[in-house]
Amino acid sequence: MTDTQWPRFEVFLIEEEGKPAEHVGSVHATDPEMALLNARDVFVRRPQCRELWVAPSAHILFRTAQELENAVPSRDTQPAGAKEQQYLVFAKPNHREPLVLSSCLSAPSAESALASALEPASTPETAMWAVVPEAVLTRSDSEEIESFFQPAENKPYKMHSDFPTGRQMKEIRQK
Amino acid sequence: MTLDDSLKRAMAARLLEMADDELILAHRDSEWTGHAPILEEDIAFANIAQDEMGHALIWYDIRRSLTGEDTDRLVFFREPSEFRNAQMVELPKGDWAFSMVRQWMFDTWETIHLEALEQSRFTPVAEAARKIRKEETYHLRHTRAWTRRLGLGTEESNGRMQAALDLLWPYRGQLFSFPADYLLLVDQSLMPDLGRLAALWDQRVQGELANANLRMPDPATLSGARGQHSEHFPALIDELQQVARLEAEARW
Repeated sequence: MTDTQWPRFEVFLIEEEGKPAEHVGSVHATDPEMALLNARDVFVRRPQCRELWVAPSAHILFRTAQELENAVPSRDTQPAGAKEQQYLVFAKPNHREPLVLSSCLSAPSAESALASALEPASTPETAMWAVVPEAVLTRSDSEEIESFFQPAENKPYKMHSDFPTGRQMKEIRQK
Repeated sequence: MTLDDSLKRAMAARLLEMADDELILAHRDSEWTGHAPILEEDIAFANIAQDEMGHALIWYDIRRSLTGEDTDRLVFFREPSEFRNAQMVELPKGDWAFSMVRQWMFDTWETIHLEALEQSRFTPVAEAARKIRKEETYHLRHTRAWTRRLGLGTEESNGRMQAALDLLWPYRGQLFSFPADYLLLVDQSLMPDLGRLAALWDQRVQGELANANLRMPDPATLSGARGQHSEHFPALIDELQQVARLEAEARW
């Protein structure tokens, strides 16, 4: 099936200072700037946020626990011409919780980065991994906090029951 | 500072223009909800529409503190001829290029206007301007990105942007117009000199047009002050007000 959508970008969000980045979903966009702006509008209209990251999905290595059982990644995976670079490794503990940033390391390939992340014997149970090359990540600027995230803080959800309309319509009908 | 009666009247008249601009633009923008080119942009532009509606409410509320008028009455029970918005914001939404050019022209104006309003000696206006400008910074980034994207895109997208710009250009003058007794407010540093801001707008817009590979249209300006409306306006107001007018006594 042909995909007529624009390229997909994964969106990661830092709720507050000191918290790790969490995967919140994805947006379609023609370029990283549009991806960042779309991410802001889709994911930060109300909830708290300090920082947003976007990365093109096509550059991210995703592996489920099952896939890892069938093919164990090797630290030595190094495609021709690959250069050592920084990778962010995200782990999803189970199907209810999101992918959360677990480590940041230098490796010759995404596979190799994942192999390193899996190495410690104490690695907690993980349903899914995502490895993002830092080079393809676009982050919101700390100077943008004011225009990007602050306006949302003063906009609480209003429940339908906050409006007197329903009761009033009844009164009008009874007149 | 407290305003005497003549300053109050002048301030209320200007606030009505500012609020009406935001309200009517918000209404036109909201017409894209469910129709924007992609889902994400649909959400983004609906957000912008909602923000502009919020700005309208802020200006109406400050006006209410001066005149005591009920804001809902003002919005839902005025006749079309009583609205003071510039015609630019009431024109039909057109194609995506048209709505983007209009929003970008307006956002550029609003940003310059708010920067100046922050200096107002009338505290409610200065405080509101500071709050609104945070959102407006984001709007401008969004619409500027679209202006460049479409201006620098294909022959068709550039052509549509240029056509929209040519059509909207003569309407820009009304953005910088003001009520009869406005200069009283300027004298007291309560409101900015709009002539100076208009020059600043020209400068910023020209620079951005060059970045987006768009031509400056002829300098022609539409004659006619605020308060004159296009043939499209009555239908817009009819739609905006029809639910509220079904049951005039309802409280929302």
